[in-house]
Amino acid sequence: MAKKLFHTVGKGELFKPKEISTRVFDIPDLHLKNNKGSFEFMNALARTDDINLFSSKVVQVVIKERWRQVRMRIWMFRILPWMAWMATFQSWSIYVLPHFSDVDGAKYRSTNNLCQILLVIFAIANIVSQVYNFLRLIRYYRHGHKIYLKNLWNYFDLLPQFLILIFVGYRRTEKRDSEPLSAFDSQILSIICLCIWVQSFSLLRMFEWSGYFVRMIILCFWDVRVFGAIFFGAMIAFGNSFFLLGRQLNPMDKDVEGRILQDAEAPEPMFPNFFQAVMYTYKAAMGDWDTDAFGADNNSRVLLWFNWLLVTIVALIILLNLLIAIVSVTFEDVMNTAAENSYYEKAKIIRDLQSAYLEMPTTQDRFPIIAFYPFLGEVDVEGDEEEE
Amino acid sequence: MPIIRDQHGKTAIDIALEDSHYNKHFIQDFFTGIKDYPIFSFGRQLEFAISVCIRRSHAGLVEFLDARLKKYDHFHKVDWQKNKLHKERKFRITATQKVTVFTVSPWS
Repeated sequence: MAKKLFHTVGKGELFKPKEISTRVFDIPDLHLKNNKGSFEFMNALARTDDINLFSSKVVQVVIKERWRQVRMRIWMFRILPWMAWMATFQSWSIYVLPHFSDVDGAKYRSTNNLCQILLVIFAIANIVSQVYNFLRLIRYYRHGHKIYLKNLWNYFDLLPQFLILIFVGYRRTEKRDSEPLSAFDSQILSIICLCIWVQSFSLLRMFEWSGYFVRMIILCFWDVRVFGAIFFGAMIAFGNSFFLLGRQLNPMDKDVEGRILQDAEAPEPMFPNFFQAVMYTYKAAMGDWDTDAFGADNNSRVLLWFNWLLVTIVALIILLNLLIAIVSVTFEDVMNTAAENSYYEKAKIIRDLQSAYLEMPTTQDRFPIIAFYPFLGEVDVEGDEEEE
Repeated sequence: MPIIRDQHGKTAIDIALEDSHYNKHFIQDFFTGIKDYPIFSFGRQLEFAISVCIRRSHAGLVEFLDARLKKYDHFHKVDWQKNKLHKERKFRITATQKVTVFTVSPWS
């Protein structure tokens, strides 16, 4: 007997069920949206570190049902506004703003005004939404403010909104609207743009095909934190050594008795400052090295070559291969539990949204008359699909 | 009677999960003892205890939760066939029985 379940059936296909059975989860109301217990349940799931918990069929089913309750609201209030905000900002910053700043850019004035109004409306609406979300979290969770403040996505959500308000306000109040963009303006726009793109990763958590991947990126950052400290410590150490050696790179002109000439020019240092020396080391660790500056007749070339050799061995060969090993372990862990990680991301999203979007949780009745139990359906079918 | 609530609305397992009385062995024994109870036995009394167990990363919780998934063939096959079984989102009883029906991944 071929066993076929619903998600394997293509859209529009029909099949004849031979045997249908149901199971019931004997703890009621955990999947309801206006239940205090279900609020607590989702909050606990979002806070847990035990990823194996999400392998439970029951947990998966409850998350699926809770997700069904918030899915439309996520599209309405998160994904579609983000797409509109993104399209408006990109068309304004890439096309309208540079043309409007040109000499003959007056014809873009109305378009520029429209884009600015839309961006300000989006920004204010998003800030109001975030404040509302924050207040609801404080109201329904004991440590609601911590939940909000610990969520890094919220910062990437709010920062571009504030920056766009400041940027548009500054350009309009100072009557610099038609002036060419300065370097500072471009920097602000690039930060806003980057934050908006980071927001897209937050939205990717909401899909099954990408949720676990975002989780993998986050875990990789978390797992390499010790490695990162050691690696950049090594960069600073070697950079410091290079900087000290690079100060007296070339020998100064001397007379026959070995004394430095009066009009001898001071040697050019290899690095203008300490930061450049560290960056040189970092680039050497990444494989982009330049050893021509070591020269053939300077006094420190032996130590310079020795340092360079150490950098390539320690940073390039040992540490970076260690990094690949660490990331590989994280990758394997997440891929082995891809479905669980996807459910975990969903649980966190539901926890963050349920206080803002769902109905107010009601007080639990001591002896309720009606209870709602989640049912699971499964079906066995025999043979091929039957067309009606 | 570990699933009967006291005058404060707490069951024995709620008390065992409090910081001052935390006893994971009692909780494990409790779960092991009741996981094979018949259907509709005590569900609501454990609602908050499960959340606390998740927070405490109780080891036997997954086993207990899946054990409480009980077979229940109350619905007649005709009711299911009437729904045509297109896809999982259409596989939903909305007529007579006030239950929520949805599907999960293969049981395999």
